[in-house]
Amino acid sequence: MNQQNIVVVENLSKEYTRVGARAASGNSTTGVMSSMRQRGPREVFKALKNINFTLKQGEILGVIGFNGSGKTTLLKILSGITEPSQGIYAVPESTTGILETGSGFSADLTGLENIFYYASLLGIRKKKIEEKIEEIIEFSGIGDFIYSPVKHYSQGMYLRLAFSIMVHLEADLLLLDEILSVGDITFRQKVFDHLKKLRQNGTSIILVTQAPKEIAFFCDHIMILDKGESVFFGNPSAAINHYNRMAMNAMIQKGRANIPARNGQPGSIASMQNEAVSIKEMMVCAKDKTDNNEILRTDEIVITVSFEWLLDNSRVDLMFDLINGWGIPVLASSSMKMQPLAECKKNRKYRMQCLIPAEFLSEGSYTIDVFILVNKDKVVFQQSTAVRFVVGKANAGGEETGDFFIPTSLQPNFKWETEDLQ
Amino acid sequence: MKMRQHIAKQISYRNYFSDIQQFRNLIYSFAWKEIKQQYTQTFSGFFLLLMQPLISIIIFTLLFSYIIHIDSPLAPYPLYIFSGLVIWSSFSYLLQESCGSLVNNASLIKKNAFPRMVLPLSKVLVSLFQFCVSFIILMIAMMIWGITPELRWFLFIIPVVLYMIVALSVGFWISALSLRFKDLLVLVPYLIGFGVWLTPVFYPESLVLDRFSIALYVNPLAGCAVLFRYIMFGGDLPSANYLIGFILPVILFVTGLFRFIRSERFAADYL
Repeated sequence: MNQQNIVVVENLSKEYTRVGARAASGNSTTGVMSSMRQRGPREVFKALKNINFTLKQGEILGVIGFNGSGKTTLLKILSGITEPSQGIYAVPESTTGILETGSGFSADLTGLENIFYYASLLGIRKKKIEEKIEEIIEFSGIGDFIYSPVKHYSQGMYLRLAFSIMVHLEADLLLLDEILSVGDITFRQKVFDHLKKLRQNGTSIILVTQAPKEIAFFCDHIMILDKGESVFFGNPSAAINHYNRMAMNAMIQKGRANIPARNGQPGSIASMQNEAVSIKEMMVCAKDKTDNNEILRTDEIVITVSFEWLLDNSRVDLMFDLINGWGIPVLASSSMKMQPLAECKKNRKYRMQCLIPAEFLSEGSYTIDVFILVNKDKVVFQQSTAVRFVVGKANAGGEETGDFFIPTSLQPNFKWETEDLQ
Repeated sequence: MKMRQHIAKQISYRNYFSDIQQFRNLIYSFAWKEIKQQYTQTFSGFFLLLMQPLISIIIFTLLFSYIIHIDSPLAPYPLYIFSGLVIWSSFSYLLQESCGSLVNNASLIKKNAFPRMVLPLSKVLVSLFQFCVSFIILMIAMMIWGITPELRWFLFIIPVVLYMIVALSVGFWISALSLRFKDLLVLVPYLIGFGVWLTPVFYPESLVLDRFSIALYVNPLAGCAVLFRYIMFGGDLPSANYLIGFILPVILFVTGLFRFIRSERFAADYL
């Protein structure tokens, strides 16, 4: 394939000036008059800082980041909706940016008119669209409704029409913002299939999303933006891990993550209580390393739940399921086979632990959902996303691994053998 | 594959005008959308188009012709008013819409990349359409009144181009400035409300020509109206003094064009 650079971005920055933003310091006088008098200094907000990257023909770049990280601003600049404050960028002349599916539709026009209207909004010549009009209508599957105003369309028809126009564009560069967050699973699958087809025809794509797991295997590169800076540019699986770690750290700073959730921590799981149990502690940590939060792949992982039993004496079981950073349940385990069985007495405190062997989970972020059952089947307590934790890369020398990484959550060490057949 | 390089804070006017060329279908699309919304979707739409000037004509004919007894020199008073309204209503529509062309289309501008100049240009087409509809009605009315059609009527295009330049000269500037100062748009209806009385729409220009001639000459719309009436009804060729009023609009039109292009690049940020 021709490996021409399709997108070149150098030192791209974007600043917004917020006029009238109040200064954080000083004057405590509040009131209408004073707020009118002090309009506040102009506050410069940097939405993008020194972004550099290139993209070759036929490649797909995923851009991920938290809210306000500058993803959409980047797309707006590349598509020409707004101008950068500094820097240079080069994109093909036929670049199409779709920031919102069907945002350009006009309710009063018919489906057919909207196809022409939307295409002209994207700068596509009428001739080009006329060649494809039948294909578009057939693909959308809207049928005779194409002759009635789109305001009478259902949400699904609306999306199908917009999508149908989108995939029939012949742009050299396609910029898509959160396109894949709309529609159901079959719709998304359809989008993926067509984007793949477009890529084979040499179209480059830049996708912006907040759901990285959906695009992970689809992108050639992923760029992570954080507060306007590009903090990572590389292969998808490494990017996802980096992103999950960032998400973890951000949550720790906000005090929302419980790694581990310790007793007495404000707002932590510790205060959970219902008529059956009062949870005292829920934590996930490396065995013999309770003093720090770090869990490595080479560590044995201990899941601990401490509680006070409030019901009458009964058999109590603990169950949890483990969900990886892409929201996919990886495994579940219960204490049903535990010996001896837990017979809990009223108003006594217990601690139950589960041990996950070392070199079992691969690096990445995980959450667990915790369930407490009475007599094997009655759930008396459940807490989803009870604890969030990160399994980090093994220390050097701890484990023999190369750089090649298949992004799966379970990577246990099975028994392997080699036989020399000569 | 053709690539295009963009450097921050540099404008390529050549690229800009070739973009407008590429997006010319959008001008038609916007205009068609607007026309369809105004007239065809609602039953009353086409009626309104006829009723509005008709009601004005009846009221002002009663007021000026029968109560205050103002003479219209060249044509029956209702036709005289109508000819003024044809120009004035097309002008005021274009003025109003081109001033608000950026602010009123905020959601479109924030989500789609197209040369924003397309928005006021599409309003030009809609205004032209409105003019043509009323112009045809005017010609029919004149023929019913027994006035024989003349080839001179086709010169109507001159006052049309003139009122468009005047409307856009204000429109470019106000729409560009309205990105920062949104209150400017509030002034536009007042401008139109006062303007209709400063312009010989409901009265013949001869009424003020003696005493306040300068007020007529500096008002470019007075020039348009007088020229249009001359084309339709004949009479004396309008004084060359009317050209004075067009000096400022032409300057504003050219400067406003470039001001608009400079401002529109940041339109998505301010809206």
